[in-house]
Amino acid sequence: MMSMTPRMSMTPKTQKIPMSNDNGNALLDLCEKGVKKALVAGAEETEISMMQGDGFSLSIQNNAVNSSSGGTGFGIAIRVLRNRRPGFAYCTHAGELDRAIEQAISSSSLGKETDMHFPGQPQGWPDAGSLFDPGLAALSPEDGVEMLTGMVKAVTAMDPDVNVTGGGIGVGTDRFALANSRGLSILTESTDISGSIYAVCRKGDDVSTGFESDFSYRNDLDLPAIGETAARLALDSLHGRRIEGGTMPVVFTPDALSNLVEFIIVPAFLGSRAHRGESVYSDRMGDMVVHPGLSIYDDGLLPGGRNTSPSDDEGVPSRRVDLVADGELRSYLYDLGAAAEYGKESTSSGMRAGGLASGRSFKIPVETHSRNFTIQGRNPGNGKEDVLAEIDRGVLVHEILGAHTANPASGDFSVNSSTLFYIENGEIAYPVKQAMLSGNFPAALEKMIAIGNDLKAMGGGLSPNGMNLPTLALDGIRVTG
Amino acid sequence: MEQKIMDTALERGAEFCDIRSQQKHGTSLEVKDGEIRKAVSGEEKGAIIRVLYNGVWGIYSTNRLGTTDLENALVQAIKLARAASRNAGEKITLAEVDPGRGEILWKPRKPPADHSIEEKYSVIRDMDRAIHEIPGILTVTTGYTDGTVRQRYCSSEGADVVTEVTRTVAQAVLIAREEGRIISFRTRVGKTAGFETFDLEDPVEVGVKGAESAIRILRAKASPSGTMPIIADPDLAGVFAHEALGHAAEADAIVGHESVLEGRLGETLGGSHVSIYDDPTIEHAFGSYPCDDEGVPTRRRWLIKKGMLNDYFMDRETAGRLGMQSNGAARAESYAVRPLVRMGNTMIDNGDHDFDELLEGIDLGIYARGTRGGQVDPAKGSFQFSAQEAFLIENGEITVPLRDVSLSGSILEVLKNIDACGNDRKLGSPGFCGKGQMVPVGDGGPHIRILDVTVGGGE
Repeated sequence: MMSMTPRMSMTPKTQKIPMSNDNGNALLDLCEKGVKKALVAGAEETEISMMQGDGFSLSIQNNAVNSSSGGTGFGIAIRVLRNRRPGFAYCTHAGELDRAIEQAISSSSLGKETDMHFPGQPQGWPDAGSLFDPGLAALSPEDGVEMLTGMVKAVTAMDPDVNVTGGGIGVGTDRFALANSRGLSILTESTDISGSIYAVCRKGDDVSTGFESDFSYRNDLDLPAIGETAARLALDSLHGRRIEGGTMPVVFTPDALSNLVEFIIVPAFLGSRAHRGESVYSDRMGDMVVHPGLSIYDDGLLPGGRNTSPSDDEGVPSRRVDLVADGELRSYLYDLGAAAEYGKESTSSGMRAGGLASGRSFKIPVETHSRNFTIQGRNPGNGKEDVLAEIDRGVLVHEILGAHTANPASGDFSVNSSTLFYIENGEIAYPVKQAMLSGNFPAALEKMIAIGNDLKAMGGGLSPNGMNLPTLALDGIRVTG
Repeated sequence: MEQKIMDTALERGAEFCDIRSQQKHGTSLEVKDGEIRKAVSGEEKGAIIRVLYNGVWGIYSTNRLGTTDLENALVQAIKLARAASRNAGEKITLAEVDPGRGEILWKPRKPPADHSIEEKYSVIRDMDRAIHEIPGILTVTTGYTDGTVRQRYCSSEGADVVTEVTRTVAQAVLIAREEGRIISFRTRVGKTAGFETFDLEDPVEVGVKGAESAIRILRAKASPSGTMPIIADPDLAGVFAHEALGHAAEADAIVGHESVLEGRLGETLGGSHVSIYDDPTIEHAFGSYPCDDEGVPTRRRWLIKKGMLNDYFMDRETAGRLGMQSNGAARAESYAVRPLVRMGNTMIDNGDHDFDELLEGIDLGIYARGTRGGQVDPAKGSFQFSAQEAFLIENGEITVPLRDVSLSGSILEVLKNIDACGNDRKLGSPGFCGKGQMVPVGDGGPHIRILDVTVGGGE
């Protein structure tokens, strides 16, 4: 799963210390000891988890590295159940564990009664692929500087008027250890690197921007390619024109789509909201809720996904969960607490993250979030060009401002884009200076025109939701020039 | 101990070193339809060391504060700076400051620690109950948060400042539903203060007003789209100042060639009736702070003075680059991250007009109130923000309620188009600003009238 240590801009920040299984096992040991302590202190059931992260990040400004940050973080989260009521507390040192356990137990007197139980140890953990790369764990800041230099060179080589004004890389190593009173115990170790770039092109009075980002669990990011993509976008966006507005097809790139999906669609699938009538998908189980050509699933085992891991943050084994099959609503997402409340099974969607931050933290109690929320079409063969080919007259949107101001209950949105292109007869005709896009996003998902097979795994911009999205063309959206 | 670390840094060739350490404690509660769902109390401490080495920053944070931990943090910070200095750009020089010394403790009149968790629960339970009384309210989720941060800042220049700040928030997210239409509405009471926050502003009153707005919005018509004049209320005027001007005036965007305001100090950007300032010293305002995270004291900064771009937000690094003085804008979300240039409480100043005078000028326009937030691209100068609620203005009269009004445009054009400011300036709702890290901010202003705004409606 993605790094939980603090992030700067798009990059995670963790410290670099040599990885050793001893450290990981020591954490698990401590968790198991904590479980015993909590039971002695009066918990009926308990779960102790520990998060440790280290890493560094390098940032760019004006085509050069301007700062280098690193950090190390460690925390312990304690959950207890007592008289069927949950309690929670956290601390940052093993020496504080006893006091934190007491705090958790006393906070349980306020919790609402629950039928939830912590899960037992499964027969085996599912295969989440390789999440740990020793090469990445050993990556030095010097290596990082070289990689960034290569990325900047690739950008400035494209055009003298394109400059890298922001971005950088972040490299991290994380450990997550969890043990509970039903005998479950798991340790997950992962490394990750993320790279991002913000490029600005100035020619005369005209200014345009380009942005690209990517991440990996292995040291295999192609930073020069990321740089070139951002630079290309900035160059292609020069001399944007104004357009006449109207309701027209909108083609979203995966990045643009992710902004609206993370704020409007993923929240609509949260069981805790849907069962309370707070979602457009409330009381619609079994109905056609999106275009029949669309299927949606969440998969905690997606190879290379942002929130991929053998288990979620409560020890529930990861799996693929079908949410919508050929347009028909099949399931919502649940963590253990929400599942118990509504008589369902956990969908392995429990994450220790929340609010307007995209990282995990031991300080945040478990909430439901998407692991790798995937929207897929029936025809695997359609690339982005095929999607564009279906459009007579419309816009291709690369970037969206303001998705977090949408109305999550109704799905109504009104956002701005200044990186978009006009499409005519199936091809990109010219860049557009600026436009507002508005409408109802769930309704637009019923009006799919075409979908690509170019799935891109990514994290949320202002939420912990992980997504895996293609290029998608939708109708019914108003474009205001 | 800190002194020894900073001495070591200089001995090892650093030009400058600072250490910022924090102790935080706080409580947060979440209540859904009257029942407590989450109760979290916690304590946290940590520190971050910055070294300036060969004109490049090396920065390292840790939540372990033993001597060896901090010594190791210094070693890491220097390593990072050394690596980064291989491909650094222009060397960083810090604008000079008088090293601050002393304590600035903003002790609340009613420290949250003196109030039981039951009392804290009752604040939001009352909010919840009051909102549920309004017909059409489906669900209510309320939250209470308090936090006290005690921070010590030391630098190799001799700065040693201890600050303490407490903030307290009660918020409600309600879902209202009527005849197939549904809306989510958030309303919040928050101050840089303790429990007296709820004496200064009544969460029940704020919650009820919010619920009433939500119902009105449900029954409202979809907003027209197009270009038209707008009157923004103090809340929305504040968001406008923050999104449309504030971010572009942050000096890291300026020196990074990522802002349309670069090179424009002294230029006239709007009418002489437009003045915009940022003041982190406003008592109890959510974005207030005693001194910044480089130990620089806070004061009011005039960004726009009678239409002219007068100042940027600066920390020591950006001020150094611009040949100016830091004006106390360095803020970090926590000990775990470096400070960045951030805003405090961004306010549009009063003009001369009554609200009615503002209305008079408009044949067809929109009166927009409150906000759902916004976003900006300072490099291109484009912004977007959404109003909570709006009304049509026809022939100088407020007529039909509207919903889903979003405004967007270009920063430079829109500053020119503020054609009148009201005389009823006030602080808007408390907010959080994100820029990779979240910080609490405030904003506000009087009612303002803006011509030729691009309005996007919902469906």
